[in-house]
Amino acid sequence: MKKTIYLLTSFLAAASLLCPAQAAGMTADTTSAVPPRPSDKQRGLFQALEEQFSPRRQLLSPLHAHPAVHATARRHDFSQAGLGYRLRRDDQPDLMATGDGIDYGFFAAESFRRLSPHSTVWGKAGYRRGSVRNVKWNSSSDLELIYPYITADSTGGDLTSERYTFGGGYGRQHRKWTWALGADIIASHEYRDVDPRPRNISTELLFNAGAGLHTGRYLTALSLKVQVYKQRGDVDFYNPLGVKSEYHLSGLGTHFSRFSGVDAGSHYRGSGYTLDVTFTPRDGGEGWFAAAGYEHRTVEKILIAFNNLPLQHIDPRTLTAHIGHTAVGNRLHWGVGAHLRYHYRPGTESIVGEKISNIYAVVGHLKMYEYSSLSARLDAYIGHRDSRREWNISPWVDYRRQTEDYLYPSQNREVGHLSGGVDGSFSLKRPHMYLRFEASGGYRAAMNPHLLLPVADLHPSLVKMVRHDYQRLQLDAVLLHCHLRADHTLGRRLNLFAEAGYHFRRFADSTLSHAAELQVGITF
Amino acid sequence: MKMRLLLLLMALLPLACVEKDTEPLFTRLTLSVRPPQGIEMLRFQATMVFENINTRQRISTSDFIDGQLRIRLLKGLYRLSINEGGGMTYTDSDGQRHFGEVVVDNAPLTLVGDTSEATVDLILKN
Repeated sequence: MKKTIYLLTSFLAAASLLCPAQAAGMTADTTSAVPPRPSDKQRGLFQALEEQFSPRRQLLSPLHAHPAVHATARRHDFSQAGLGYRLRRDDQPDLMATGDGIDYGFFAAESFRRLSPHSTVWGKAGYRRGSVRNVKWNSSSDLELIYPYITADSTGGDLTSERYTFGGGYGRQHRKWTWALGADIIASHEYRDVDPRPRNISTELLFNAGAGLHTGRYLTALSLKVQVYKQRGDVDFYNPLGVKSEYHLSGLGTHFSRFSGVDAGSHYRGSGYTLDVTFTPRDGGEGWFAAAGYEHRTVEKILIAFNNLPLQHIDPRTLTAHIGHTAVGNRLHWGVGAHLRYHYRPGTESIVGEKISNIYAVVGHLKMYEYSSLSARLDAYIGHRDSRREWNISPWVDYRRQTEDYLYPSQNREVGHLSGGVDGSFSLKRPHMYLRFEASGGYRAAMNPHLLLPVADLHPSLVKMVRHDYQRLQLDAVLLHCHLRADHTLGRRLNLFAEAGYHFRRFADSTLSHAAELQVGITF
Repeated sequence: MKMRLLLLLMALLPLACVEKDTEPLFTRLTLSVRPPQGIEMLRFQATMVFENINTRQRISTSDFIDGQLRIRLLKGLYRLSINEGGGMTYTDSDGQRHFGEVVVDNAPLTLVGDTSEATVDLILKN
């Protein structure tokens, strides 16, 4: 662990030293000879990079999920493809179910192109493969979609994980209105080669359609997104002496006792829709923006080994709202935005009747679990850009509160987090080089944590898991991040880039979390 | 003034406790025990155990009055049993008074309504 961090730190230091050295070399060259002027295409590529990393784009990013907004969100074509590596190491996992580290190699590509002055097309593709370390109490995949109804055991271990993503869309602007269509597919495969051996395959399909009216220089748009989700999983044991029970968790350390055992094959199926309304400046311009959205999903867990018995069901709903303003003045550009998100996730368990002719009848349902979270965030930025350099400062403050209840026997876990910080960036543009450095610092304070657990009614190992996760949630933390990127011109509209990023968290109990990412590729 | 402030705070305190409404999860069961044919039950003395087949939780009670029990249970599928030593005082067809240990028919009871009524048959052990 220490060796890995030392190697990464050395790489980042070397990159930091190398890039100013290259810039110095470029400056020296300009004093002795006139370098060729960058072509319009190269200038366009640098402008696309400035647009890609602009704080305005970061502020409006929640609105870009809307296809009609996405179709008009950029002024410059931009395409990028790269190979990279990402790792994370935690002294203690944030949640036992998500493990204490990741190691992924990945390929990522994205593209946004104007086919004509009135039509745009975009696409993305990605593949990542690697491992998640020390996952405990989770033998399922896509935790954020199916929580709390996961299959789990007390042993756990490292999981090998691979994920494919493909997506794209097309948008067209007419005189008075814009429409767009999009689709995405995410497929993942996770497994372990030692007992207990989970193997999960999941797919999610998303279809997106939107349309908007041109109201002056603004776009007022509606969109509808439809999602379909499936996951199939099983847990095998090759060693007959080491077979352990798999539990079908129900939230906060409870589990569906009747069906715990070795027959853990389960199938998740889900669907959902999202409705969004947005109001934004057209063509990536400045001005007011506002958006509101409502998402409703359902996911059902079905036990394959018990004649496809529908055991548990979640029905999450999410409300989002955003409002803000961006502007460009004589010297400075600035923006401010407020974002609100409320998520409510009720969970229902089936009342399973007698087994008759190998069929388990469902005779009723009980809503036993509730999770809700409220988050509110304020972002602002101020910066300056000229022909050669740009700097931005972006303060932010974020409040989140999450509440989790299992209704009988009564159990409760609550915690709030108030975070704040400042992000800064500086970028330098030379005729054949673009450099960007980001650094940020922040602090997270836990507020009013509370845990109520009837330990006499729960399995001791599950009590230990819930208590561990609660202890991590109630810790304050210092958050630090830095990122460096360098783009170098190779051809008329072709750049080579390399980037590296590092995230650091220090918790109040002196435990640390490190994450780093490296990527090299091309932009065109 | 201080007393008024204290009383005001005490009045507001219940508002800080937002409890979940769990009543829809429960059923109010009226359970009656029925002796075997030809027997007049005089008194039923036993601890009845309700085991939720899905959650494996067990609740015991001996709160019978004249062979009837009222209890609030989580809705679900239950298997009933009587703890060792439980039984009834009865008179047989000859008018003789006896005490006999009993068991119940362990066919599961499905309790999914807001209120439920059920009758279980007692079986004399010997």
